[in-house]
Amino acid sequence: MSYKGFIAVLDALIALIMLVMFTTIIFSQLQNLPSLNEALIFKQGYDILSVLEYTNFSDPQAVFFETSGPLCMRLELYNGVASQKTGYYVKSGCDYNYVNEKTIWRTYVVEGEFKTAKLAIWMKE
Amino acid sequence: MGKRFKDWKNGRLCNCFSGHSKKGQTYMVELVFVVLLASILAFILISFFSFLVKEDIKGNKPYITVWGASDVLLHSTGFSPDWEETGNLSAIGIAYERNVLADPKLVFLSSVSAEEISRLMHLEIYNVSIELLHEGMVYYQFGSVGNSTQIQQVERTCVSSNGTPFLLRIRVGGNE
Repeated sequence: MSYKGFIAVLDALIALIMLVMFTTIIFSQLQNLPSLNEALIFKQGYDILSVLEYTNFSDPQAVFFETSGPLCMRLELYNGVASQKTGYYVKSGCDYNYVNEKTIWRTYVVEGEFKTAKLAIWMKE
Repeated sequence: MGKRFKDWKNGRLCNCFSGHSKKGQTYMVELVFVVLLASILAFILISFFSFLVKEDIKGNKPYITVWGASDVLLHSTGFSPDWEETGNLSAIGIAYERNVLADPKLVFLSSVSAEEISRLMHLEIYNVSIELLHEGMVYYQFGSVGNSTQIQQVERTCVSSNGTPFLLRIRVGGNE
């Protein structure tokens, strides 16, 4: 009888520990996604793309210069179906890429032709 | 549940619990105990995480507020939309379209006091400074952070109507 009781208590303990573990994992995930900084990086990216689009992507480096210091970015320009790269720019002082970079795509029209821009953006470490 | 059965030894009916129902009752009590413990534990964990999330939001509140203000500035015309012509200004927005600066609005803002800037951005409890920079030089400056010590800063990219890119720097400090 006491052996059974021991098993039952052990079951209950394991169940409780698992509950704590799963609750911790779920809430950690809920708390982390999406993080504030990630959301704000995307906002910055949309700002930069809007400015680039207004200036017809004529001088991306000049636009990059007017971005926040800790931000790094890389711009790739493609034709309408993104099959051929037509331009490539990296903000000066930044590496080529970063593992946690966020990517934003935008399609725009130049002289009646569709073009595609890809902006990869990340925070300098 | 009590179970009535015949006590053959004494030849009379006995009203008592059988061993089987006792076990069932014990398991039931254990189950209720475990469910209660789990509920209490889950409640404590949920409260704890909710508290952490709230604290995080509270801690970031001034920073989020500045971001909100910069959104209104850069993505709207303000209210009324033609306030630079009518002078009827109740909320500041300095763009004709998304991220494209409206020069007449900037000219008008140059004559607005720092206190008015804070009030019109609905950030009365803060000192607000707005700067527009190009190649590191300040072209426009409105408002001031005064002697504030705890300053939150947000930098956004925008462009003037003639295609010159600018860096918008909003700084907000406590209004002690």
